Amino acid sequence: MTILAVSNLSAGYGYAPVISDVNLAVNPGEIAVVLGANGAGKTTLMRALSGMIVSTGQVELSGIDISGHSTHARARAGLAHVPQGRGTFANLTVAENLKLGAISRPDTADIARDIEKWLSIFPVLGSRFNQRAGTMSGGEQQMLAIARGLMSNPRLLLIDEPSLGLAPKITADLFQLLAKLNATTGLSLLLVEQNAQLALSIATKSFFIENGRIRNVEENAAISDQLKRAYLGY
Amino acid sequence: MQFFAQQLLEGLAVGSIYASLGLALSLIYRMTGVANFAQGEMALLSTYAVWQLITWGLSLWIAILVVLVGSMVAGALVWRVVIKPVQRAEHLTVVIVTFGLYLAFNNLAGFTWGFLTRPFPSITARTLFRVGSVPFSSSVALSIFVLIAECAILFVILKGTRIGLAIRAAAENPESSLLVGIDINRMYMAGWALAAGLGTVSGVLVAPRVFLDPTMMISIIISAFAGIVLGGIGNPLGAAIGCICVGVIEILSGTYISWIGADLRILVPLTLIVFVLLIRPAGLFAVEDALRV
Amino acid sequence: MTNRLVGATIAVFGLLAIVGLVFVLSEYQIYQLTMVVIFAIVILGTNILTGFTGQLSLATNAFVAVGSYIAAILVADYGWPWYTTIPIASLAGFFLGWGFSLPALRLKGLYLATATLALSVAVVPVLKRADPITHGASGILVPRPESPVAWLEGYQWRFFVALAVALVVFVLVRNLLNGHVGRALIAIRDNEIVASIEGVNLANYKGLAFAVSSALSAVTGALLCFNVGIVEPSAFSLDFSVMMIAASVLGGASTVFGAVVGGVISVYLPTLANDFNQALVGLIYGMTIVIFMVWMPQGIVGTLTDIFQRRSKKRSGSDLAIPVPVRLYP
Repeated sequence: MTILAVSNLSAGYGYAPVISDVNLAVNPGEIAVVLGANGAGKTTLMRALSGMIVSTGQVELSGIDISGHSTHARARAGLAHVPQGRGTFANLTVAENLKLGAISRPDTADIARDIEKWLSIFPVLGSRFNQRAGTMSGGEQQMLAIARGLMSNPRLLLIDEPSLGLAPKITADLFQLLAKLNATTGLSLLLVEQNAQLALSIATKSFFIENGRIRNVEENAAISDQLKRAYLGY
Repeated sequence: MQFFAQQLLEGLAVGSIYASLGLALSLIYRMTGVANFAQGEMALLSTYAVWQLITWGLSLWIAILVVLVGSMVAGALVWRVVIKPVQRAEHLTVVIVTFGLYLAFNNLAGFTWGFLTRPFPSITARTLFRVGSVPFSSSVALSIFVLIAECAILFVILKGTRIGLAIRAAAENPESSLLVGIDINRMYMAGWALAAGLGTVSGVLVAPRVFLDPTMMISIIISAFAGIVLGGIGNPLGAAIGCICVGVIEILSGTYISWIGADLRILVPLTLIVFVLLIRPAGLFAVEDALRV
Repeated sequence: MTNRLVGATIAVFGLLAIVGLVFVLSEYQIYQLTMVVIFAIVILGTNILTGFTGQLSLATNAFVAVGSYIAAILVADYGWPWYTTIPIASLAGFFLGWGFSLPALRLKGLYLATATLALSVAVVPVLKRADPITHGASGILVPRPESPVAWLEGYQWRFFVALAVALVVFVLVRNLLNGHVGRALIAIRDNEIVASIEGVNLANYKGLAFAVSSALSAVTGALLCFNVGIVEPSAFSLDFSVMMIAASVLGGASTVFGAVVGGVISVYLPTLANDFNQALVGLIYGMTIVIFMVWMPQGIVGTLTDIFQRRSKKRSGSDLAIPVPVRLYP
């Protein structure tokens, strides 16, 4: 069963749709990346998937139809969305941010254990545990946002432009971390990225968005030379 | 000296009552961005409800408890029905709506119960305490004690419970709250419910002192507004401190400045408001809130 | 062109009809019509400040009080002729409003509303306390101006005076708002930052709007003084300001015609409700503010105008209404 099955998804902010008739699927354990130029509709796609904007079409999460659901209902169904710009609770502490990731989980006993687990994978968070999240650097906040997403034990983790505003070395580390998470825990990921090279280095599947439509789907991230030149410029 | 201490305590007591309402105002503002001028009249309706229940035979404590719960439901309802539709609209709309609510609720009280002034029972028996050589009444002690209790309860709820964390998150970042699965609308209702409860407490504390009539809460809300302007509108703790300061300043200036009679006492918080707005509009303990206004 | 002609014809016939009515209706009915006209003036002021410029002021009561008391004191205590007090009141209102606005308009939105709230609540206690000038809580009795001609009764004469003043005011305001001032005010309401970038001197225009609205309030105050016959503090409470806002909202804040509708509501609603219960008036006002702001923010006139415009697919050029900005109240 696919983790995410999207059919005929259209969404926008006004009269004209920004994305139209998007079809895509993510299988368990895959790292799927959505590539495209600025303004192609990547973030709109993410927002439509988490229900932040009105959309038409069908979205299924592990077989559950979440098409008409509100954002918080989708989050509770297992869709964790790390938004563009990270969306950390800046005035709350790292600890509180992590606890908030688990806020809709009923199994309170395991939450503390999970916090420990993620702290060991993101040690920098441990050193800043009681610090206000807004005082951390961009890279640290990105890790916090991802850890927060993971705290909910999601079926699928959506990440919107994780490299935005981060230094190259940090983004490289970050992507390696994501790859490792996927390898060790089987975490399913749907990434939206402008940095195509970096994204493709860890992707098992890639989609290209152009003018709001999915142009191409590549399994195993093996891209034809034609597409490479068209979209990546080399 | 003893007289001064007495006046000071009275100021603290009055300030504590303002702070109950100020906490409510600040909580609502922090959560939903609305400075709810109708909060005082909502408290007025609660107080009348208590009076009504007592008149029908309930004991004071039961009546207060029942109304406390009822007012919390009502507060949540007010948000849901009136405020939610206009919350995302222009700020001016929301402000006007709160004044509309103020007028409506105030006159609802007058319409239902008339304009007669009525006595209202006090929670504590009228006993006199003594700290050192300074006497103070039980109502003074009660007001101060209640405020401390409220602050403690709020602190425990907001900082120590899951739902408190969710409420704080919803106030801080609604979008991210949705993304972690928090139903922010429910949190807003919870915030308004809490605030309504706080308002009810302030009404029940005021009524025994000044007697119950539809004009009872207007000066209280003005002073509470002065308190939150002084303390910084988005900061509940600052609001409480600000309100206490307003209470002390009001009582002391009323006592020691002779031409401020009972009729001009309201000028004290009004002058404070104008003063703070001129000099430091964000208040003494302002929380950075550039987008709100 | 024909739309203007139609509008002008309607206006002329309307005026003739009103003039005709004056000789037919009873004294009480004329008195009520006079009140409609008088309230329309202050509501127009509210429309300018809040509907057009987007600033909320709760201090309307203060400036109406200024007008009323100036008129009352000059006539009752100093024996000045009544007609001199109307321009004096308007000037006083204008300059006091301008003066208040200088520090006040540095504040935004909620803070400005709070500052005007402070002024508003201070009015009644100060008026009561300032005995030597204001005669305190008992107020000032003012003899109503009598008709100078035999064929007009006093109440008819007073109606025409009010009507004349209102017409002058409406024409002045309409000209003011149709020009660059109006466009500047709309720009400020819609987006202050953009407006200032586009070269609109925010302070001046906002101050002007405030001053004009205060002047109109003062004129209303003076007219009220001469039609009610007594000026006393409790009439100028915060609730008065809130009710004026309610009437403004109901009428459709950005239009001259809406001010008239607001005036009608201001007079006839209390009359109807008072039969039942004094508190019912405030209750209905409060409820209408809430209902209208939530579900019909453009007011009665605005919503109807909107529907009408959408039907006719172009701007209606009626001379009775100021061109309706795209986004009305708020």
